[in-house]
Amino acid sequence: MKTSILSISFIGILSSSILFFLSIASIYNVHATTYDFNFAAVGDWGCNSNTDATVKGIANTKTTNKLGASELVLGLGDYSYQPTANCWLSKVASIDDNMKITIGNHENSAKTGFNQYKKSFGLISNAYYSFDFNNVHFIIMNTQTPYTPGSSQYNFIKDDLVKAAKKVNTNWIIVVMHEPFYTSPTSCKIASCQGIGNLRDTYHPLFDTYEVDLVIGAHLHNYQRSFPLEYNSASSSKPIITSKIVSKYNDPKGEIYVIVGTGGINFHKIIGKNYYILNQQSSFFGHLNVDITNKGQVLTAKFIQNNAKVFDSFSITK
Amino acid sequence: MSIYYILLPAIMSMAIIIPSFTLIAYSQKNVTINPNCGTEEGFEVTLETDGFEPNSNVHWDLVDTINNTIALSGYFTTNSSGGFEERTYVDDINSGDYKIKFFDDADTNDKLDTNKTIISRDLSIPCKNQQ
Repeated sequence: MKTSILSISFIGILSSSILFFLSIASIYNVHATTYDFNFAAVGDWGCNSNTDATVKGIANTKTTNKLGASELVLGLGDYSYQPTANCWLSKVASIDDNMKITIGNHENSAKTGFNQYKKSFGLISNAYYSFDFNNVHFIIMNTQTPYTPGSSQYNFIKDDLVKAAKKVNTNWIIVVMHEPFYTSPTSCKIASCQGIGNLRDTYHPLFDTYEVDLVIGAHLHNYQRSFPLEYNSASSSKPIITSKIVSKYNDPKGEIYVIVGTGGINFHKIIGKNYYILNQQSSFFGHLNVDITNKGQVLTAKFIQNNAKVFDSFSITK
Repeated sequence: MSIYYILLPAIMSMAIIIPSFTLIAYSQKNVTINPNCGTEEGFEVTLETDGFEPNSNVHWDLVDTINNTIALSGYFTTNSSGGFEERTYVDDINSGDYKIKFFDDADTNDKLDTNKTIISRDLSIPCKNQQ
């Protein structure tokens, strides 16, 4: 009997101790990872086996990334390329738990499923919005609706940037849009594939003022990553490179512009290299994978091809 | 007994050689594109192939026949019979006559693999009867 009581007491003390240590470990673990997370971004997906490979590549980050699977997936526009979103929604079902999208030119009307995309991702009105994820502030622009000064989108984004710049807990500002400011020359011949002048004239100065860190776009079906760039008011198609460093930045002036139009539909061949583009390719589908680590102080981005090889990587420390 | 030892390898060789000839006979490359024309605003195209290297990659280029430049390109993984049926979208390019060229590209380096051939199909924008 005495032995039983002693055993029960011993087990009780042991259990309490284990619980105590577990709670301490849990507190420390939460503290260490409060700001750390991973997100993926890609656009121009299509609805074929390359789209499946891109989805698989994003899902597989849990095996290649110490932070686990991407906790946030950003769709950069141009999804099913069909009158409805059905096919693409079915393709991304395994990774859409926390997915945010911007609207591209292939889903910006009722005939191309605009309302279905809006409903599926809870978008309101004209589908531009912002949100916080840990200490990162994301602004999702809609380049398919009016954005010039005086438009409701312009007012929203300017106001949002002012607020984000003042937030104590915001360490990073990342802007997502479909059609880009800057690009190397490609086989895409339409005007919107040349870098949109009035878009960059309107927003690049704002991004400089409010210290946006990263601008992610698509539309061009390839991958391009710029040096950190500031707006050039004398010649806006010729932005000013603020740092010639290739991959490890320490809070550079200006923003790094990345095009990730490699979701699977096809490629616009890159036929030249503009001086402000650091790395580019139009041969492999894949996605941009971004880690926020060191308590939210380091941003590390990698372009991971669907064959799991890393084509490009860079980091920014603040 | 000794005849058995001679005949058995001969029969086994025949068993291997005959199916190999059959495979070669059926490895003719086939490509179908549907539709083979469309509007400048853009249109979805289904690419159907067979007879390429099995379980590998086939690269395709949409080439402008006037200046021989690549307008769009891509690649798809082949199945066990060296084929695939996939969809892509043709837009962002000018009106004109194009060829879609398909070729084996195992390592997806955009280059024709050694000892392989290119097969191509015509595509026009807009359709001829719409001009």
